[in-house]
Amino acid sequence: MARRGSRLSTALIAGLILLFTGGPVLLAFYGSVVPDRILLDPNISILDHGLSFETYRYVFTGELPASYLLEGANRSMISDAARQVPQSLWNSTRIALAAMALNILLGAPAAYVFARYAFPGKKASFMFIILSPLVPTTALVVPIYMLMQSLGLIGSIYGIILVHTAQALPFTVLILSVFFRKIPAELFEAAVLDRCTGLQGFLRIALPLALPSIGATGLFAFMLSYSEYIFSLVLSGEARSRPVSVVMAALARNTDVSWSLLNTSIFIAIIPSLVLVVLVWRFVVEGLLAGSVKG
Amino acid sequence: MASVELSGVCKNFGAVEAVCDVSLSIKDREFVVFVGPSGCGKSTLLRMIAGLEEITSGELRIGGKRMNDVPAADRGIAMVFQSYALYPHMTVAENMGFGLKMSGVPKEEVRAKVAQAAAVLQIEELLDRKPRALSGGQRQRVAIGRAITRNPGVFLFDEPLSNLDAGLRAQMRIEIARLHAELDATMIYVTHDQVEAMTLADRIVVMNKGRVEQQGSPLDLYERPDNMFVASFLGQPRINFIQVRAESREGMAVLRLGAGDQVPLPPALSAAVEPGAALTLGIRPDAVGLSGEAADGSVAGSIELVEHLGSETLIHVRLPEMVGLTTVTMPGKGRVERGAACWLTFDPEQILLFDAGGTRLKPGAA
Repeated sequence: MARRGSRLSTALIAGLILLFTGGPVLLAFYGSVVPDRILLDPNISILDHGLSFETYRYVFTGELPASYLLEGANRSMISDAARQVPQSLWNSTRIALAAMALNILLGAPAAYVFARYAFPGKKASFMFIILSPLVPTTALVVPIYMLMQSLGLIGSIYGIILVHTAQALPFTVLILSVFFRKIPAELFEAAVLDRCTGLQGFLRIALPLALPSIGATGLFAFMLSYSEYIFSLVLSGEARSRPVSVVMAALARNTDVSWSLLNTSIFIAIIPSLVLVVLVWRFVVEGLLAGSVKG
Repeated sequence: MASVELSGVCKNFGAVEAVCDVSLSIKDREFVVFVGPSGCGKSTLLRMIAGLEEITSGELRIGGKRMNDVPAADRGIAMVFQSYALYPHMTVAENMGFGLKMSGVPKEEVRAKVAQAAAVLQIEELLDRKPRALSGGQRQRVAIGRAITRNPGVFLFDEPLSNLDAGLRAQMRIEIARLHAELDATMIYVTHDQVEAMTLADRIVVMNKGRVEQQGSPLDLYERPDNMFVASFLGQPRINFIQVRAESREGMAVLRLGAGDQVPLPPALSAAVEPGAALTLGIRPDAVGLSGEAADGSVAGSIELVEHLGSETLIHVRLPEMVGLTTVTMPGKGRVERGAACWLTFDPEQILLFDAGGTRLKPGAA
């Protein structure tokens, strides 16, 4: 009985978690494939009309949805901002991938050095890096804007890449240094006897072992960058270089916006993250499991 | 030629002196075991020879060449670690060949050497596996195989068997002894297990608190320890120590135990003893005889605990006015009753006497 009860509660809690995480995604998808007048009118059943992908067509081609060409439909609900979604998606993907790559490229060696070497100022510099995210983002917006302006990086994705890299770097360094510290020192001593230099010890021993952790932190950096709003807004400038978070905010702020258009944009915006998670996650979990079986 | 010479070697970690003024001369092809309790500096000494730890002062020579400032990889040594330290992401073959690969040895040659070492250790069928798919004993073999492929002049073993269970440990011990005979290399082996030390070593170096207490062949150390530390460290079960006072009887020294029993001494030892001195008598459990009747020079006690090990029996006897128990080993499964009165006799030839400072009294001329 007790076992049945615990299985039931497990299922219940899992169901609740699924409801809160998967629910909104499903709702967004539902809202995106049902035209507004059907969605908002309790007297019309969706079953009578079937699914409609016209808002998707609008976002990608600009062809107005048929339901808004009908008499009495409010044309102003079709926001131009939705047309920026594909370009912004491309921008965000480039920004997030670049921030992810820079995080791994800069964070992994830094974490390794913090974990394995003693040098003057190690503790202070580590604390400085780890505690830096405590500074409120809003306090940094103006100084960073001025800095980027002087570098001529306003209105391009490069400025955003730099800021997003810096934002995720403390976490990357922290997580990876914890991992590198867990690798037994004897492994590196064996490598020294096997004629490895410090750099080779990092590249040939530490790095391959850390791949799952690097995957996880890279994913984290990607998602942090992908959803970041304030710096993206301030530094992006015109539509050409706007990331998806900024475009989505513009869409959501528009009180007249078509629900199905908004939901369509939301659902499209989730896709890059989903793809990356599916690609990287299995690898991350596999790596974590392999590590947990004591070797 | 791969002799190892240490002269006046010291190692300080800040203010802590881990190894102090160690001088050793290890001959080519010798099997030397460093033994001692945890923290005695034996591993540090080994790591200094390996080049993983800097030498604070003193000199290290391998094969006659000064090695203090030579990088670890160029010292012609190979090391087997306690945790095996196999690279988890490489297969067994890659693990074994990694050192050669890093030295720029051609692939074919690496493969041949790995195969050769694998044959010696009978691990050919494991070459494609990852370390995590191996048992502890197999991992240990791979770790040794990795050392063999480097074809070093000196093998260094840092407690290589302490992570294995008792049965496997005995098996690997034999394996290592066989390898030493086969490979013709100098081996330096660190352990805190005195059985490994006694069985493997040509020479044992007993260390304590960063210093060498005594060195010599296993039996030499067992029979003629310089002091109480060495005597207590080697031998299983441990040597018995009994507080005694020397007295003179008819011109010969005898030892008087707390309760008044007297133990006669052989003439050679008797000459070395000053009457009236407080001494410690050391006697191995196998040199104590146990009988149910009193005899001349026997010591009365009562049996407090009996341990049957099958091939032998350990009998722990309480002597009057003594703090610890005295252990006696008897061959076979002798039936002894707990609580019974008994009399112990000490083989006079095997009695060791230590002065108040713990140093052994050497037998003088009779």
